[in-house]
Amino acid sequence: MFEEVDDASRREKCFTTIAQLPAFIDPKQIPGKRLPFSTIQNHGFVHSVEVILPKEFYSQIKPSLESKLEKPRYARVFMAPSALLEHDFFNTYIKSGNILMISEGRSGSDNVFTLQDGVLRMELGKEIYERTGLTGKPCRSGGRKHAKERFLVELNLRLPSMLHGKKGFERIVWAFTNVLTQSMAWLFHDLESNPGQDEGTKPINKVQPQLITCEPQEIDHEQIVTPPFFNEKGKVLEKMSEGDLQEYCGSLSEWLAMVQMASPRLSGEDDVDPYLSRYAVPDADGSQACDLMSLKWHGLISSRWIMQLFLNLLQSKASNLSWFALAVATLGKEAVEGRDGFTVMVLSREPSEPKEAEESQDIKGTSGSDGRMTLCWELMGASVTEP
Amino acid sequence: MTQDTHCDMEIDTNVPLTETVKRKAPEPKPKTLHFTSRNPPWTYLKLKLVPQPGSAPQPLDPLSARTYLSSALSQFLGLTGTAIPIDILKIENGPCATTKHDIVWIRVPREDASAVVSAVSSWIGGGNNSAGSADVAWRVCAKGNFLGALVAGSGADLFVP
Repeated sequence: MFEEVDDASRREKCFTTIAQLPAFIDPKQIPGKRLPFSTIQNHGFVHSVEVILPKEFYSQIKPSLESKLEKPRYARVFMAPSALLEHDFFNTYIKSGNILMISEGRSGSDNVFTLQDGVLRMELGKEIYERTGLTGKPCRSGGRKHAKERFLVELNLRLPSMLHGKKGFERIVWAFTNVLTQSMAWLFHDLESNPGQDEGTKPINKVQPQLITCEPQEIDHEQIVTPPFFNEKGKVLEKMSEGDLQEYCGSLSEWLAMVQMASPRLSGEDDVDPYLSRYAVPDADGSQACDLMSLKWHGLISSRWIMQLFLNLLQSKASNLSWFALAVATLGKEAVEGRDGFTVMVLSREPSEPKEAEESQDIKGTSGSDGRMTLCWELMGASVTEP
Repeated sequence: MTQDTHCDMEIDTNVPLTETVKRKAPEPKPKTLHFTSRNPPWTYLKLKLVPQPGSAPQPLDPLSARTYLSSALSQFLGLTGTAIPIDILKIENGPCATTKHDIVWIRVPREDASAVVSAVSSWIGGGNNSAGSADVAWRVCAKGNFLGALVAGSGADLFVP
């Protein structure tokens, strides 16, 4: 009605991929170049992971999920950037170890620091950037188009030249002791820690960390109207036109998000007045009410852990018979066209007659029958200002 | 909107060569379909009802949320504003003083989204109807064309001890 689409809305995108998973996946050799595995690996900093699945299926896989999957652990620390370069911390975590760190602040307006694979990225305002004396490149801030207002400094701290006493390194030390002196909140995750290890002597303990273990939150969704998925009730992928396919994928991703937010519109018993809402589940006539379950982790979570979760869900015994979806939201997204996260949905192998396949399932898993169909939505550009 | 279908035929190079004694015919990789959506039909908004200082409004329910929204739209755009279809997806009414208090999730046609945002952010509701209503305003907490990007929030709460 009012055709005035704003700039931010025009930049939003959703990349949808429909693919078939390989029939067999070796956990030691993940096909990292293929979707959805590449998507999982490309999202380094994650704050929320949610798995949505039928309740029946969850009760079957719950024991194996609890025993095989460690709970994600991270720490919240309050420190200045110079603490990164302290001898102990620097040598243990950056040079020889592997950690994931991210500072508070909003990209586009605050100074934001991230550390991943030994590379420290700093997004700074122009004035601070010029005072640091470090080299960086301008980056987009969402403000004026051609003014260079924000800069990105990338430092690979694992380079052999990055040692105390070397010239280039001393410049970073200088910048951290004279310009970037402000303490801020960071989230810290050690990718190489084992729970059995001696916790007391680690360098992170010098900065008084608040150690946190993510407990999954179980949420029941009772009697959710579930639309037919692909290869069910005439939804054959090959027979759908391009427009239909896009529309169907869009409404499916909307439906999954509605499950995530626990919207009453999905309940089979919902009788809302059309004046208040006209939302309808896609293909409502072919749909049926099911009990669903969602499992939610909230904290700094590494992509490695999400991959383990994904493989566990994929390879548990009962898994072939049921669908599941994995929704991930990223932390510290860039101001312009930042990635918001992704949703991966894996469909069951035998959608038409799930009960009969139970016995022959073990043979099928290894004999290389067709892989399961998967849908992946990657989202970018939304604006979220509050938690 | 583009859609390209391509089969990539590259052979997995990760497999160690010593173990492949038998030569297998390269398995045809399954078809992969990609497309990018830029213009979905809807825009989603997460709005928070903010009471003016000193007033204590009743907890939000769908009908009063719809009334407040219509009032904001008619004030900003007149009769045409009230014709914008709004779908209320969820009302969150957690305990007071939490982030989940007096939140409404709505869906509007994408073309109307910027008008709705302008209308709700410039509106302050007066105590015009019954005695229970108080001065309130809307705050836009999140806006996006894909609901999946909004439901988990920004994660900024993790940094707060």
